[in-house]
Amino acid sequence: MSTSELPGTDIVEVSIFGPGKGESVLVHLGNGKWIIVDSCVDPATNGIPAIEYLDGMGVSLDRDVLMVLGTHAHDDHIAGISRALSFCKSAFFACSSALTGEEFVSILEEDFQAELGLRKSAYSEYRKILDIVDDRRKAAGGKRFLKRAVEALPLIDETWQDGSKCRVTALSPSHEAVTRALRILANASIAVEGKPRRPFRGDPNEFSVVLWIESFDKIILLGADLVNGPVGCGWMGILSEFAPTEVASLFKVPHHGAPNADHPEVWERLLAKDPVALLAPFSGGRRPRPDAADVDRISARTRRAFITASPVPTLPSNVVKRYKADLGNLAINAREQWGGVGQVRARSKAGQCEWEVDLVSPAEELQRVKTRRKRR
Amino acid sequence: MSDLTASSTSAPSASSQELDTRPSGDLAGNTVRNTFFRQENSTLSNHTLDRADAESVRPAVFATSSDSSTPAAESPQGPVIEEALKAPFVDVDAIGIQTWPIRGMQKWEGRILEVDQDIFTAELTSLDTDDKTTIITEFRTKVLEAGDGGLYPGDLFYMTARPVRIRGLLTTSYSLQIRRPGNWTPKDIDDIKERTRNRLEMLKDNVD
Repeated sequence: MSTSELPGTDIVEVSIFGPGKGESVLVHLGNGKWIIVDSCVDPATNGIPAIEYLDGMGVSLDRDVLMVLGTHAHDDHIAGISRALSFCKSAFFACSSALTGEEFVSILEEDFQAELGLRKSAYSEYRKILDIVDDRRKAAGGKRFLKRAVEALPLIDETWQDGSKCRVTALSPSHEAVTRALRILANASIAVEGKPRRPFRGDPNEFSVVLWIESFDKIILLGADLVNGPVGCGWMGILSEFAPTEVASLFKVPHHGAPNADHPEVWERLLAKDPVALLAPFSGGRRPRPDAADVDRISARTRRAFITASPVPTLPSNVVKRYKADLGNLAINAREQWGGVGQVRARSKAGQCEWEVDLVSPAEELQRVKTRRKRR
Repeated sequence: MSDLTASSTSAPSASSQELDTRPSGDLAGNTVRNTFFRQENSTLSNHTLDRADAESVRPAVFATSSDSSTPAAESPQGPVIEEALKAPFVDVDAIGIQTWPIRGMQKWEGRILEVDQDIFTAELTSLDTDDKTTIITEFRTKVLEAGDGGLYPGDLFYMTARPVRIRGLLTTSYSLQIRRPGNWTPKDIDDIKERTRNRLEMLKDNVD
């Protein structure tokens, strides 16, 4: 496939990038307008794949990117996101409503103080973003560039030249999840006089932002890393409140295919039969995702699932072999940090049902990952 | 036996066999069960690298002495080695003897990514090289003294590791030290409150 070919104005595109740890989703809404959902960094070049892809196609980053959204505050989803926002000069930033309250701001500043002299934490991205949107507001004469995402809130509502509508709506976090998050954040204060300084360690998956995107006749569901519950939160919260008349034909599988984010009713009530499913792996932990059971489960639900890279670590380079030798039996399973950035690109023209899927190596069909893992 | 002894082709002695299962202490005072001692087809291989690793790692300095218990003349390659040793430089590749690099103490910075019962996953960045290559690896939690606070994702640690030969067996001497950035002070708390107030003022103007 050609990665420099711009989609037509009546073509909707969803591209997902992922190097093994981290993911970024790029959506062409139509009429040359784009949104970026989450960000990852190419470990080899330190570049931002979504930005490089747009730049390679000649998209005006200044003008044509409407929104940069951070679904949640995990470093595999927001690596380099402040840089991405700084390139897209007219875009606004959107994040979970829970992350704009006093509780989170306090955590941000505690984290800043805790990391002095330490390596920068993921939360430094949020501090940079808040500085960028403030500078942008001042330069734009007061126009605001920060939006809170909460259930049922439209983030983008456009009418294209042909009269068709484009709407991007947040399905999560639910109001209950926001309340719960604020309570957690309020109790999570890390700065207690006389106690050791430590960075903040919350788990923000349960209040991450899921998007429902409607453009032309296409519907897309981007699942972020939203987990199933608890009651009133996560996918359970969405399913209790949201009953669409039409279903989505493309799904970004949540949480790298992990079972705690897989709700059967999402597939039954929100998705078409055999939807195109996109996911990025997470190989940063001890148990890479998706594992063999995850692959089997997702493959049973759709025949059209694609992944940006294999969750199985790549063969070690000579440098890693040397490091392994240095560490002897002290280190278990030493491996590359993560591999190359793969891309899965799905495009569909207005009026056509099918999505045309193209893969940029090491992206592959999920079914192939399954085969290879079993052979091992 | 010299520290730089090439692998022997002689059968393992009874005393060597005992060493295989005996825990030994490393220089850091930790007890490390020796898992390096392998016996394959009656050939005793007493180095840390398997053959594939050894081939991928070109030695900075190579072995020039042979095991005194294994006379060169008894080896199938004995005459070749003898001839080679007469030359001012030994081409180990031509001789085909197995070698390993001599490496000094390696320094690393680590960041914990995940803690799972008795294992934690960390990213390690070498402090000895300019390229700052990072690898991911797992460790047993017992190698890192966490103190009262326990181990959590995001914690930083320093590590030194050095190959050490104890009674002819190569093992890794190591030291891991968790990095504690001190305690919160009243000034820290005041600074945080001040910055939080300012940031909230800023947010009021920016949230749409």
